[in-house]
Amino acid sequence: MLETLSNAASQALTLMNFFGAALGIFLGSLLGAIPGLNGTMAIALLIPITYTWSPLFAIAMLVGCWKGSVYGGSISAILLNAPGTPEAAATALDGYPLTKQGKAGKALKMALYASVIGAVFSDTLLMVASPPIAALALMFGPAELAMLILFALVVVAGTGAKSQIKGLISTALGILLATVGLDPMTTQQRFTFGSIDLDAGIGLLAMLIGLLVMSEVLIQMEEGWKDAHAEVMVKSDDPDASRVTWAELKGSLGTIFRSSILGSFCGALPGVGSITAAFMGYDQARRLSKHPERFGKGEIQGVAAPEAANNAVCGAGLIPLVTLGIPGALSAAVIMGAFMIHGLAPGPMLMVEHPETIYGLFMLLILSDFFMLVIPLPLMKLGQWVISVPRAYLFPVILALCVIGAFGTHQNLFDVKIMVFFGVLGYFLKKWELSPAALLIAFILGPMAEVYLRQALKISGGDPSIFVTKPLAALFLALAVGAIVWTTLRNRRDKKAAQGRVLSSEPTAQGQKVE
Amino acid sequence: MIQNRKDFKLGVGLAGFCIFLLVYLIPKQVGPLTEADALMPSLVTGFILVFSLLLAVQAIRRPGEKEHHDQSHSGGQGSRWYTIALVVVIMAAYAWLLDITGFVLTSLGAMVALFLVFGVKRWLPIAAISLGTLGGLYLCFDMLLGAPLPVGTLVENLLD
Repeated sequence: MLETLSNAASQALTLMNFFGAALGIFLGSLLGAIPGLNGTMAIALLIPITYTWSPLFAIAMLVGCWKGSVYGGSISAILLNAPGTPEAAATALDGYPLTKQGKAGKALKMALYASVIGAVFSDTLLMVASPPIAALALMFGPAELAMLILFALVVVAGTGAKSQIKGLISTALGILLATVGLDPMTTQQRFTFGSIDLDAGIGLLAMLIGLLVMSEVLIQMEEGWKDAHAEVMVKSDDPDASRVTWAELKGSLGTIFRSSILGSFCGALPGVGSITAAFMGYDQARRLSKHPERFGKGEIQGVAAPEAANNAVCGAGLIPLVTLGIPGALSAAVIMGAFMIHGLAPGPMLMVEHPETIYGLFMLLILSDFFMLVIPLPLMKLGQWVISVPRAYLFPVILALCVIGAFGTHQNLFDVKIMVFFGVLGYFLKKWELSPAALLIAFILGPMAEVYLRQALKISGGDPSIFVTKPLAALFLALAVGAIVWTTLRNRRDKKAAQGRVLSSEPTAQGQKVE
Repeated sequence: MIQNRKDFKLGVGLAGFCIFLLVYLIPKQVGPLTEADALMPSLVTGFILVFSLLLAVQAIRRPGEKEHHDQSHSGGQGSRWYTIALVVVIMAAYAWLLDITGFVLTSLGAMVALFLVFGVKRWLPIAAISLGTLGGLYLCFDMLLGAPLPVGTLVENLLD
C-alpha cells in the first residue's frame, strides 16, 4: 500500500499536474460565473482538448473545472442574484442581500472558504471510503452488478424529468441508444444501417456535447434570456465589509462541517445532486441557527452552508464512479466519459488495474482544493465584467466550440453530424420534459448493464430467477422496485399538496379565500 | 376529453415507434427477437412501450402544468422558433460543409451567420470575436494538440 502511495505521489505531484488542476479551477470559476453556462457544459467542451494529454493531467483539470464552476456559480449569485449554476441558487438567498449591504467581498470570501472546507472534507472521504467499497464490489458477480446498475438507473431516472414515467422513458431510451454499433459479446452489427461510422456505436463525446451544450443554447434561445447587468456595488466604509473575520469563520465552522457531511452524503447517493445538497445545507443552517430570522436578509452562515454542501458533492460524487462505475450525477457522468476516453474504465477493477493513477488523482484533488483558495480571488474583481458578457456574443462562440469539440477527439466529421443531431434531439427532449441527463447516464451505463445481464443469464442457463435467488442481487432488485414505489407515492403526495395549495388560494363564489 | 394533449401525443408517438422497432427494425437490423443480440434492444423497447402507454393513459386523466402556460403565450414565441430553426439550419450546414470548404471558411461563415441571427449588428465585435475564436481553436487543436482541423476538399483542390 505504501509503495502504491509513493508511486502515486511521484506520478501525480509534478508541476505539470499542479498546473492542470490550477487551470481547471481557473477555467471552471470563470465559466461557472457566467449565467447560462454551467460546470457540466464547461467540462463537456474541455474534454476534447484533453484527448492527447496524460490521464492524470486531464482528469485533474476536468475535476478542477467542476469544482471551480460550482464556486464560480456563487459569484454571479452573490453579485447579481443571478446564479451562474443551478446549485448556487441557495447561495443567492443571503449572498445578494449581503451585496446590497455593501458586503459583497465578505460574502464572496465566505463562499470561497466554505467551498474549500467542503471540498477538502469530501475529497478526504473519497480517498478513505473508495478502497473498501471497491474491495466489496469486487466480490459482486454479474447478477449483482446487473441489479446494482438497474437500481442506479431507476434512481437516476428521477434526474431532470418532469415525472417518473418520463424519467424511466429517458433512461430506457439511453440504453436503447447504447445498443447501436457492434454487439459487445458477439460483435454482431446492430442498428448500423450499413454505416461503418456507426460500427463503433454513437460517439459519447459528440452525443454529450450535443445533448448538454447545443441543446441548452437552443432552449435558452426559446425561453428568452435576460443578460445580467452588473449593478454598481454598494460601497461600505466598514473595513470588515470585504473580509471574513475570525469570529465569523469560527461561528460558521459548525454549519460548514454539517453542510459538508450533508453534501458528501448527497454526492455519494446516485441521483441526489448538488442542488438538493445546497438547499438541504441552507435549511439545516437556518433551523439550527440561534437567529433563524436573519436568514434571507444577509446572514453570512446562509452563504457558508450551501457553498460547503454543493462543493462537498464533487468529491463524494466520484465515490460511486470510481468504485462501482456508476455516475451519481450528470457532472460525474461527464467525468466518467473523460475516464473512458483516457482508457480508464470506471468500476471496481479501476483501483486494481490503475491504483497509482487513482491515488494520484485523489492527491491532486485534495491539493487542488487549496489552489481554490488562491485562484478564484482575482476573479472576484473580474466578476462583474465576466458575468455581464452578453449571450448574443457568447452563444456563437459556444456553438463553434461544440462543432470543433465534437470533431477534435477522433478527427471524424461524422461525429459533428451526430453532435448536431443530438443537439436538436436534446432540445426536443427538454421541450417534452424528458431528461437528457438520465438518457446520457443510461447511455454510459447501458453497455455494462447489457454485458452483466447476459453473463448472468449465461451462468444460469437462461433462467432469470438468478436475480432473485442471489441475496445481493435480490436486495438491489428490491431496492430498485422500492425506489419506483417510493417516488410514485412521493410524487402523488406532492401533487395533492400542490393542488391543495392552488385550491386554497382560489377565491370562493363569495369572493373570499378558503383558509 | 384528453387533459394533457402534449403528453398524450408523446406517449402515442413513442408507443408507435416502439411497435415499429419490435415488428420491423429490430428483426431487420439486429436479428430475431429470440436471439441473444436482440435481448437488450427488445427488452428496453418493451419497457418504453409500456411506459409510453402509461404516459398516454395518464395524460387522458391528468392535466399538465404546461397546458396552463399555453394559454398565456407570449407574442415573441413565433419569431423565437424561427430563430431556433435558423440556428439549427446553420449548424447542420456547418457540419456538412466542414468536409468541403474546410475549418477556416466554414467556421468563419457560420460564426458570422450566428452572430447576425443572435442580433449582433456591429461588424467590429463580430470580426474580432470570430477571428479570435478561430485563431484560438486553430492554435489549440492544429498546433498544440496535433489534431489537424479539416482543410476541405474544395480548398485542397484550389491549393493543388
